[in-house]
Amino acid sequence: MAPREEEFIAFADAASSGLLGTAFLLCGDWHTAEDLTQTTLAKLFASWHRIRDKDAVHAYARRTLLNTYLVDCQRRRRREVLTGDAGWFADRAGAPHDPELRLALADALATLAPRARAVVVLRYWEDLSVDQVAALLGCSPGSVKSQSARSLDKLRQVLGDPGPDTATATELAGNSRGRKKGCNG
Amino acid sequence: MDETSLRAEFDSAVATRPSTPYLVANSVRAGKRLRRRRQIEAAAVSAGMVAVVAVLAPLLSGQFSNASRNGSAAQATVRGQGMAYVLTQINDATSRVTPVRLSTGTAQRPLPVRGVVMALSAAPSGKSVYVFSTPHNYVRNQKNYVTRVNAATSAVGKPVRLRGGLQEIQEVDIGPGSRYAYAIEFGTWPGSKDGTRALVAINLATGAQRALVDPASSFAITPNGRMGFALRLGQDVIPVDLATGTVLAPSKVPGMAMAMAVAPSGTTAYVLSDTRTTSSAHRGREWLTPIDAATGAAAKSIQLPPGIGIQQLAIGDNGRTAYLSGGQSVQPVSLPSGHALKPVRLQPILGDYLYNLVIPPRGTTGFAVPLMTWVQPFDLRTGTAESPVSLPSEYGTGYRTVTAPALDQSGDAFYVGATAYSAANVREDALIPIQMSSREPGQPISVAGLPVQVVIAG
Repeated sequence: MAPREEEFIAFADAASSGLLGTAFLLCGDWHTAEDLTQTTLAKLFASWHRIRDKDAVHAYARRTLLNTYLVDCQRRRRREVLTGDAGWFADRAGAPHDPELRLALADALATLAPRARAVVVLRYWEDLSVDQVAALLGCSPGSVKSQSARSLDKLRQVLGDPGPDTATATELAGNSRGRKKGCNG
Repeated sequence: MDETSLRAEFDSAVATRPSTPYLVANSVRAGKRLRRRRQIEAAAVSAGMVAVVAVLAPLLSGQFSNASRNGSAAQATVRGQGMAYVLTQINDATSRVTPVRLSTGTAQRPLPVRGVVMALSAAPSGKSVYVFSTPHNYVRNQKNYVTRVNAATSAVGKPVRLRGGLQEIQEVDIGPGSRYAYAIEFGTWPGSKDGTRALVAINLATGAQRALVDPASSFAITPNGRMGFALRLGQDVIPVDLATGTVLAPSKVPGMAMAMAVAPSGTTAYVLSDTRTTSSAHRGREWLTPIDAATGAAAKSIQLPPGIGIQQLAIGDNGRTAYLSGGQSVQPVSLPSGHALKPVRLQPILGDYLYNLVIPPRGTTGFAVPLMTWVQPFDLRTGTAESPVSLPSEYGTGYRTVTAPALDQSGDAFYVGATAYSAANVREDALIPIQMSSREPGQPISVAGLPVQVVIAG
């Protein structure tokens, strides 16, 4: 067995769980998430010999997952009518959070465009900085800030939430001036 | 809703993550297919360009000769000894095993073997070949089979269902007397969520399987079949007494064990280890450690020149020289003295293509076989590289090797699976014979499907 394959398996064993979680939040169901993660890892395996800096491989994997997800969304849009899929929260009766809120949140997330959903997941699940998200999506930091603010606003509207305090709103809206390239899906 | 509650919802949603025990295994299989497809596509592009040049150049120079129409150089007649069994991949769900009679260079009808073939292995006696297959090319079940094939007649026996073990069989060695096969298997044990790669003993008569070493990355058996060595990549080597099935204490090597080979005499195994880490491409110091095949005790390690970056290890010259392929060279090491000899500088290649080595049991010429359209002989006595031998196809684009080479029963020729492309990107798959003494490729033997493995028996 080639040493590189062993290296890859060690990486995949450690990273697959996190990638699967991110994929799930992006697409909304576990089956598609598993497909997305498998496709991502397969692409990584095929390019593994070219990845010199193994310390950056997590970031590379995240970018590959994101690209795979966005391409998959484009393909699905051509052949499917998207509906709000609440299945990903609905099956968690024993979870500690409010089930109604989860269902509503799932519906709300499903209303976001793929890139907007990616912004929300990367910012608030992966805990990436605005700059990191901007680099991943290939847009300006201002775009990420405005996209975050708009997405959260939309979530609040769908959920009937009163909204954030003033400080959070200001911070989220951030400085969207000087935008170079839009982030809209 | 604020960021905190959104994060909490995300956390609790992801906490219900289902078990995905086959995710990594399936990813590796899909990745291998993807990598092979990319290699083929890359070869198709370059072959297409070469084909265009090959056709245009004689036209422009007004020298459109018979030679350019019928292929480049005349090909030698190579009469090998034994039967080759070529495993080919037709598509994701179909594979074939094609017997090839080497004395005549003729391919026979593919074997009627059940399911998708994962691996082949020849018995040490040369009388049988064992085919390991699965009903589907998807590792969600453990319904694997082993089928014995008579190497003299290519008659296929009754499949034996394997019981226990892991999902994917990757490499197999057949033990003495063909009672047991020793397989490196990959997958998930029943009741476990974590994938692993383990050495498993397979009873070839009953199909019962028993884990011997877990984890294990590769395995090698001494020619007399008494001892086997399981390499735990990045760790050490574990000797296994095959007569009793006893796993012995690990043989300690400096750094991390990366590759191993057993000397043809069977008295010593050699383990290559280095200080490379999985988190960095940086290669540090490398060692070659002899291990007594009778006791499993490690002898004093030989420190290798820096920067070799070993890919393959072979022992030749009656066990007196180790040949290490890496980067753009082959590094011979004198085993009695422990000194590195003059490196053999190979023809430079682009990228990071694996060099396989062919070190014959007799003769003075070894071959480096990269995944390219040529193989390169080198003099085993002087360490001098000779001119590369190109592998011409009838299109003039050249065959590109895609499998590890296999020595025939006489040890005078080796065979390698290869593909070529026409200008219209039509792929041609073949088994290519190379006569080692004359350094000439023989007539390609067409097979259906992309060659994956070549085994020679009979």
